[in-house]
Amino acid sequence: MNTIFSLSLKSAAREPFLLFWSILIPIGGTLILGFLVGNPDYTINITTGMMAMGILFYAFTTTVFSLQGQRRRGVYQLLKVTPMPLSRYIISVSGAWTLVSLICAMLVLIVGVVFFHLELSFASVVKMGTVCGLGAMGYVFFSFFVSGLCKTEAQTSIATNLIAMPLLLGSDAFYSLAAAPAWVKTVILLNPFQWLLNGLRSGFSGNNRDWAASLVALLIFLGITLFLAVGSFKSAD
Amino acid sequence: MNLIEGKKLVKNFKNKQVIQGIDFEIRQGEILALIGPNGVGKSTTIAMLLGILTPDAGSISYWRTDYKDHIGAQLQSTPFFEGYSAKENLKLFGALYHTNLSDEAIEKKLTDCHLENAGKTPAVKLSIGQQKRLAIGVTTVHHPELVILDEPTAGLDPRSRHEIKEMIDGLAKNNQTVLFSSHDMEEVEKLADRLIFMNHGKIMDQGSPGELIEKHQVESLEMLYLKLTEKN
Repeated sequence: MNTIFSLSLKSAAREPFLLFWSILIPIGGTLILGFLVGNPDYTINITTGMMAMGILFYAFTTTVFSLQGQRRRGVYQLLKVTPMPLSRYIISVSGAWTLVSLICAMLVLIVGVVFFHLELSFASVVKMGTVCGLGAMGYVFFSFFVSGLCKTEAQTSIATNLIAMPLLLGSDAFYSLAAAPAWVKTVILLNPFQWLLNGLRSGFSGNNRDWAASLVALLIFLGITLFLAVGSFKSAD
Repeated sequence: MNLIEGKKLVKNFKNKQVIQGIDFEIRQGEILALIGPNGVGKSTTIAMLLGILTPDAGSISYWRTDYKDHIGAQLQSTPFFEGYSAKENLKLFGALYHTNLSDEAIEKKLTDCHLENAGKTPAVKLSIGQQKRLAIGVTTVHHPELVILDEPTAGLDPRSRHEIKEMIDGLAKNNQTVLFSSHDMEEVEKLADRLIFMNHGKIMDQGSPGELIEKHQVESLEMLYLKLTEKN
């Protein structure tokens, strides 16, 4: 299991999509928007928005492509032939990808702290890290499900865009939705990306009630996506 | 001793019976070839033996309960992990079979597969011949008692085919039992101790190459192939 975890970590670190979408874009975006907006109160919103976006792009978009390639090549069929239980393999790989997402998010946070002087307590880092881990794990499990629906790379591209874009745009990652109609605010409650953002922001501000609510929402998301991921392997049988 | 016994196996796909009640066994220490035209059910049979597909009727018995630890299988596609080098694929497959390979063991395996200089190359970027050899390498990382290879030489040039044949021969010399499927009758004649001829989801005949040639009064396995295919 350790070998699978460490090899997955090594392979993930070499992934060019990771470097671009989950490190360069979020860090560049944090710096550009942070300096452009120039409002210290809004900097945390930009930083957490970029952290969450990096997680979404890696833990979901990049991993869907990776998993779809593995499924297409028959890797999961071959796994059935080995004595390794599929669940153990999934946990090892998901653990590695979650850790990569967490590291990427923390890099963005460090940029926010260094360039925009965000004041972080140790407790805030732990709370934000927990939220990142849960959110990333949920998206990784979700990517197992989505990769099972796609037969080709083109389908994967369409599916990831159709899922990731509404999640991203239907949140207050980069703009306020305070003036949005009531129905929009209701729909946002169903957006797991928004709960990831809420958890990061409340973790930073120390609002324990909101942070706990976000954790519960992310745990529900995690449970649903785990169920979907397992189901996708059963239906593939 | 029989390692695997299949009895009255049936498999249906979309109301079509692709495997029609076949009986066979894999005997310890033999090289068994599964032959027949495309689409007659060879891969389906292998998939059922490996537990990838569940038979709709019939039974499969194995020589031990922990048989998965002692079977190595290469499917028709070569399913390497994308983004992993040849070395990393060997290591990863070792882990899947609960075998922790040392660096020396990996180097030896690469040498056995004639891939000494390709260890760091991403597995999916290797040539087809190299991928087929690596596929046998990852299939045998745990020294399985039974090795199952689905068309290991399909689409290869003569040199690559020869190298794969040598590898299969090497497995047999190592007292490993081998089941492989093939269309190459020359390869089957040279390698196999016994063969099972399939057509239309049924076993048409089985036996040693010599026995079958004599029984059907043909000059070679290729003629036998043509004869049995023509009949049906």
